Amino acid sequence: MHVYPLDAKTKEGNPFWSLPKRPPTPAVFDKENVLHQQLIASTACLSAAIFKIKIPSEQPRSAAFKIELAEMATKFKVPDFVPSDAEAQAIQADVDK
Amino acid sequence: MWDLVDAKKFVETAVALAKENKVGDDELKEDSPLLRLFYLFPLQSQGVFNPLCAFLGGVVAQECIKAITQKFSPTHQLFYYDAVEVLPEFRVKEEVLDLEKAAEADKGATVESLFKNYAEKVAKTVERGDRSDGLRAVLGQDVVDRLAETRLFMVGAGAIGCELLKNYAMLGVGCAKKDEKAGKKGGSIVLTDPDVIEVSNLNRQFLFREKHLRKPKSSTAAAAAIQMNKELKGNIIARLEKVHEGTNHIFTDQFFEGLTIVTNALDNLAARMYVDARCVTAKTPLLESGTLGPKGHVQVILPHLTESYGSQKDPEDNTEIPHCTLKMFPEETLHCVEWARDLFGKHYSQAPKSALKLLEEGHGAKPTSSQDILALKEGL
Repeated sequence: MHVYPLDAKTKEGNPFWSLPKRPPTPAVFDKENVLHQQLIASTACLSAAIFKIKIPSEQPRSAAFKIELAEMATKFKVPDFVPSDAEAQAIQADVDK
Repeated sequence: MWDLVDAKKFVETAVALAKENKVGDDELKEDSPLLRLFYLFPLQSQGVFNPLCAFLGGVVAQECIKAITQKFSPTHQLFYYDAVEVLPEFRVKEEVLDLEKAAEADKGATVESLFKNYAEKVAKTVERGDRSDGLRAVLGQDVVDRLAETRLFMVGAGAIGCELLKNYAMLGVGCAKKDEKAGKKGGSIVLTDPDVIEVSNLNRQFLFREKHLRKPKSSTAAAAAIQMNKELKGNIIARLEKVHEGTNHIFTDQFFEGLTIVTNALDNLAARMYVDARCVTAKTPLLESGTLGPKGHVQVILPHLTESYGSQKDPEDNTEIPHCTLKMFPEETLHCVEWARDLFGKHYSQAPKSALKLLEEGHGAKPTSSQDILALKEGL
């Protein structure tokens, strides 16, 4: 969205974001949302299993544990997005193809 | 059957009806195709032609299934199907009309001498009280003999194989016995299939029953064919070898050259290409066919006359999703699924693998290339 903002135009002057292209909208993490809880819990448990990290729960599939994990996730600080020219150029090249 | 007096009555009625319905005189001329059909229809109307029966049976069965399941539209229009091209030669002018004129002009001529041409035809179609009577009435003894003396090789005994083998049994293909005194090589059917019968085969491979589960397809199908036509006994050979590079000591060039025809009943492209190549080398005709769901194809390959199976190539499947659609502009649900699968693979398969690799290479060895460091970072 940094390279192609909502009002971006193609070389021909048409709006860049016209069908079938649809602009993405960020999903805001909501620890109350069951789907979000599930994503966090599944990702965490899968990674833990792969790296042989003990999962600190008797019932890793329980709703209570998922809520616990989602609560933890709110404390995680997502690094700020830093636009990079190199990446922007790569994306542009990709799109132009 | 082949009663000219009856046939003439039928033709008279048919011609009168045709004229009533304003069929032009040109189309009813003595050597017209229509008049030929008018004669052939009553002459062989009691015949039975197995392939046509099989086809019609299939159409009727499909309509029954539609009626029972209440799914799909029934055929509600006129259904027309013909196979006029298989009918024997019958020249109305020479074989009937000219002879009649000659009989009128020459009072001394006997019926036998005049209708010699026609009588020969009758002799070839006369009933013998055997299983081929129906076929004989339609195509004559010549064709019955040729079918019986056919040396046929069927590759595969699955869905198409069952259908084909049933037709061969009903037509008496390969039934002729070897007779060295008469110098006759006799007919034969060789079939081969390395597979055994599975539960999932039973719905469409109709020569197989539940009691045949885990038994070889080829020998089971051969036994079923013999049950249909006892004359096949001793003339049918069931093999279990796959036809490929590794078995060309069994299915030698000599074997292929000795065949009248090869029929494919295969389930894969590689085997089709291989059998096709062998047939081209041996100059043996090949009947190729295949099914996919409700679709099907059939190709007749004749040496020096048609192209071979390998001459045509299906266009490459171009269902690959472009990288940029997948990465940035997914349009369909499928794209999103594909994107997620890609990401999943990266996180849970690729990254741990490269991390593991680094661990295995020893603690002492320091990752040197930037690629290794990146992989390690991602892995952790």
